Amino acid sequence: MNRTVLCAKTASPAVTTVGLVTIAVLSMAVFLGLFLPVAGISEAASPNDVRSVTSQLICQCGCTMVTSECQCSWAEQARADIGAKLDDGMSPRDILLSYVDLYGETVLAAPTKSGFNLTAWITPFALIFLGGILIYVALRRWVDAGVFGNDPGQVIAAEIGEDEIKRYESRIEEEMKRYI
Amino acid sequence: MIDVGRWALLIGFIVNVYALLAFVVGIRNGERKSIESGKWALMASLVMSSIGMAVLTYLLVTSDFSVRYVAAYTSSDLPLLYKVSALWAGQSGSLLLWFWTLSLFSVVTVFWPQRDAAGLIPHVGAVLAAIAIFFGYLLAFVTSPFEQLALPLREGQGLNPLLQNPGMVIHPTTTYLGYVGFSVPFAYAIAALINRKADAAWIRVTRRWTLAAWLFLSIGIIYGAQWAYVELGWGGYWAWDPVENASLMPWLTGTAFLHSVMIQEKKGMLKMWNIFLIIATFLLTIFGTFLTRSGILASVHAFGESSLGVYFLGFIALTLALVFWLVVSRKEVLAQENGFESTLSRESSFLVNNLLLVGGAFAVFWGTVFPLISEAVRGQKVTVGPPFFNQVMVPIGLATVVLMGICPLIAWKKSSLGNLKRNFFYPSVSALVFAITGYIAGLTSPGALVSFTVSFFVTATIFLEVYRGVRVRRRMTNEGTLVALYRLMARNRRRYGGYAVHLAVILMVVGITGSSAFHTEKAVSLNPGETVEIKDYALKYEALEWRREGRKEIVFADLIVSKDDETLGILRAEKVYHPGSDQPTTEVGILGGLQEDLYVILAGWEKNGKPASFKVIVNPLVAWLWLGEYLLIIGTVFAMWPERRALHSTAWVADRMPVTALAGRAER
Repeated sequence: MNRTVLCAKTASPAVTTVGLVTIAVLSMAVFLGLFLPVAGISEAASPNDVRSVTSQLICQCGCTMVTSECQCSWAEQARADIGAKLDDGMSPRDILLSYVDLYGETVLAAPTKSGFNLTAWITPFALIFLGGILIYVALRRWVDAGVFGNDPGQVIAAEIGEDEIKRYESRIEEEMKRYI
Repeated sequence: MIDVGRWALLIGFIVNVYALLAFVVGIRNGERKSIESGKWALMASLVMSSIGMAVLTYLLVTSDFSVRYVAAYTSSDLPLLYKVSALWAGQSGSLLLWFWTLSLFSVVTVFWPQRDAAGLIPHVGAVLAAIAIFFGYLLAFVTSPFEQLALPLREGQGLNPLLQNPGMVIHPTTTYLGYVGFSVPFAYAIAALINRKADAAWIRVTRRWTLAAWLFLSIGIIYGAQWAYVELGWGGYWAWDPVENASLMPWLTGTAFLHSVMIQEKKGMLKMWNIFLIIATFLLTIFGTFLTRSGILASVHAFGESSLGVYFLGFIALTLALVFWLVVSRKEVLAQENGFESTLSRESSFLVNNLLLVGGAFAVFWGTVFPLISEAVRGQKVTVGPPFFNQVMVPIGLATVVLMGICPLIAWKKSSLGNLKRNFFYPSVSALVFAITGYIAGLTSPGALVSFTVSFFVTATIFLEVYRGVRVRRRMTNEGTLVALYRLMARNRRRYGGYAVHLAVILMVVGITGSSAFHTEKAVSLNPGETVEIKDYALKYEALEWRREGRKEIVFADLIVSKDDETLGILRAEKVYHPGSDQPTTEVGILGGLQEDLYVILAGWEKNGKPASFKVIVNPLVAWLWLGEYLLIIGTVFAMWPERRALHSTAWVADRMPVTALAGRAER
């Protein structure tokens, strides 16, 4: 006796919802990544926080660490200098610019978020975002071209014979033996 | 003896050339003898590289300062352990280690092949021989560890004091085992392409190789972080140094590969993508080696500038060209066997997982090479340091962690929103409650709150999965909870080993979040008898003293630590002066626990330690990073372990549940 197994294609509204949610999540990741903190040289979280300023400068002793972490004499002097400047009322942004004037752009621990340097920040997220769209488009195409035909929502009945049922039963038995 | 080593490396290069030719002739003419000859040539390569390693070890241990390498990296008073580990401290020695490891893996691969892929072995052997030719050439003709000095030195320059740590034994060796280990699945992938057999066989055969390589690379990376934490004395464990990044990139693509191969195994899909991933992983291991040796980027890990960079770039370019040609000429065998049935399925969630992991690898790559790109485009070099990587990688990392919680609960083939609601209701609600409770309790830092909430969510989904599995098994077998749990995991090691690894990653995320977001530090100058307070701790500076250990001079300060008026002990922070080195190394004082580490650095001092400067740090949850490392090892080994065969007979199964009833259930 043949039995009928009913198969149904995924409903379209669910697909659209998932696609929109995926794009929204990826967009949020881009937003969070790019715009926290703001473009250009970052302002310190607290105006008098020496650490938040020194963590934006690379130590010039050749250690490749940020100035807030290195224990060398250059880093110590820089921390003292920056602390004094903050106490004098100089803004973190102006302090960082003064170090750039002295040592060049390489003293900054990260590229600025302007001009060509903006590509450093944007490119990874842009590629992930594009990749997400590509995946979504490719998935839609694969699903539409897949087992269940082109008419969304159509219920397709598949006939299976006794031999196939016996094959499924023996497979279940085998997997029960294997996993139980 | 030196000549023995030199000749061994030359012969090692020659036998690999012979091996490649023998395999190619054997494949083209169907000559089994040629193929056997090629295999034994790989064995000869192992023998020769072993001789090279033994000779160099002998020269290092006996302090033969007529050899440039020995003079550069050892001294006569260096402890034996570090004389031996100096073998991989320098450029040519580390290349020798790579060559030897590759020879060893090649021999194991060709002499003990898995049955399923025995037909691929000649091609696999040829690819491995080709890779060994490159390294053998460098050792024989470009950078020999047996180069002699015109005039032998009386004393060596000694090993960098920072490398005189037990970590020197573990970190480089495990990292190299990981790097070289990826050569094997790469070779199988190329062999499968050449043979136009891009089905899942090569993936099944290399699964344990890939897992082992990934495990060793993971240990290398995390142990390196642990070593940096205790040795470098800055209170951190990861600095986004270019060489650190170079190890992270193949780890990320290797992780993506480990996940996406499951789709090819189950559904015959993503063949081209998996080929791309393993090739990218292999080339990134070579790229990492290039970064360490070319000197194009400043790094505390680099061997310094040399001409080797050109050779590595050439090897990468040649490999890319050959692989591109292979893929294009065989693209028809990479066509998918099946389609996706739904955009909402575990298969599609794996695609998103891959997107984020590969995207993360690209972000690290992009940040690492951006200084060069900036210089090339606008003539101005920039620095891309921790602020960039933290800001870019944290959202990508968090999104990946969220997926770790989502993917296992989505069904293969097709899930509906109803399924999702059922599966995610409890973890989502409990995570929301966690977030609200955390915020009310004072966890107001947005980044930390998000990170901890996501970690909690993933942990909840893992435990929910295990709970459901145990519950189903108990219903079917009437076993006790613990027995059911044990057998559930033992019968499906791959899945539950994977869950253990996911849990390990969560532990590490919690450790990273805690130590980053809630890090407290103070820089103070203290006179003897004075106290500094940080969080609940009080540290009373006793005195600054001096001692000698062999040729080292050590200045140390003892601080009595108390918490809530209870004396916990004495922390000692040191500066160690090594002969021949201008800068002292820092030995920090650490009082560690599950909740936090109290970390003290002796920064400097005036005469007689009056005063002495300290940096005192409290690093919450950092121990969870190392706990995660151990769980990751356990989980991966568990996943790799061969599964037990079924213990029960058909009769046992039939007694407990009629198969037709099971079939009926399966239909639903």
